[in-house]
Amino acid sequence: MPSKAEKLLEQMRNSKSNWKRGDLDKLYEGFGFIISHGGSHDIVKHPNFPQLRTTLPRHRELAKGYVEFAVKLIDQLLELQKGSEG
Amino acid sequence: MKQLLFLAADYANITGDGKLNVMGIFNDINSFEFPARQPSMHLVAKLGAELGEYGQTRKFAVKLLDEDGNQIMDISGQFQVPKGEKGRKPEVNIVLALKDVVFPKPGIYQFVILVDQDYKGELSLYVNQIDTPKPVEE
Repeated sequence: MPSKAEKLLEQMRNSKSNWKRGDLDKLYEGFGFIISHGGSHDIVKHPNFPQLRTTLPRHRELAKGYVEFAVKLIDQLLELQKGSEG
Repeated sequence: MKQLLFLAADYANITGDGKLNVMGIFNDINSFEFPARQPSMHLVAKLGAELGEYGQTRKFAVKLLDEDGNQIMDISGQFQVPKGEKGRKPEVNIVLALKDVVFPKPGIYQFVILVDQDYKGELSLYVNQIDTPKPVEE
């Protein structure tokens, strides 16, 4: 059964618009990313794959580009996890 | 707009007939001491227009963030999206010549490009501290 984060990923894959910052936090954290409060932006990092990192603005409403990038970043994570399992 | 290219280079320009010249693409800056000053660098972005954007004016911004999420630079401007002709998707080249960018400490810095406040992509720049060369003993 897919997890909440997996369901969210599929929903965001289907529609990139009208998501809130909190939804993106749930997505990232559901896939093991750590979000830390930065100076003017927040930092998103994956503890096992330091190359997977990005920054997020602190707006409640999110432009769709942030959602598109989150989906790409998680796809990269899934590829890396598949590679490290094999 | 879609980001097709976003990179840092020693030099870049756009010729009169629209060709994009880029020399010395890099992702690392090495310095003996901090704050480190990069006397000259060029940021190059190529953006592809989508239907409905042809002929419109768009605002862009490039932000430089340090590893702790502090914004250390913000550049903005605007461009005109060309009209699509002969079934061709228009593209926009942006070259920003940056002088004396100061990196306060070593770490991973990110340039983020936004068009009309929407995220289009980012570029990581690794700023490294290197050891001062020791004088050769005779």
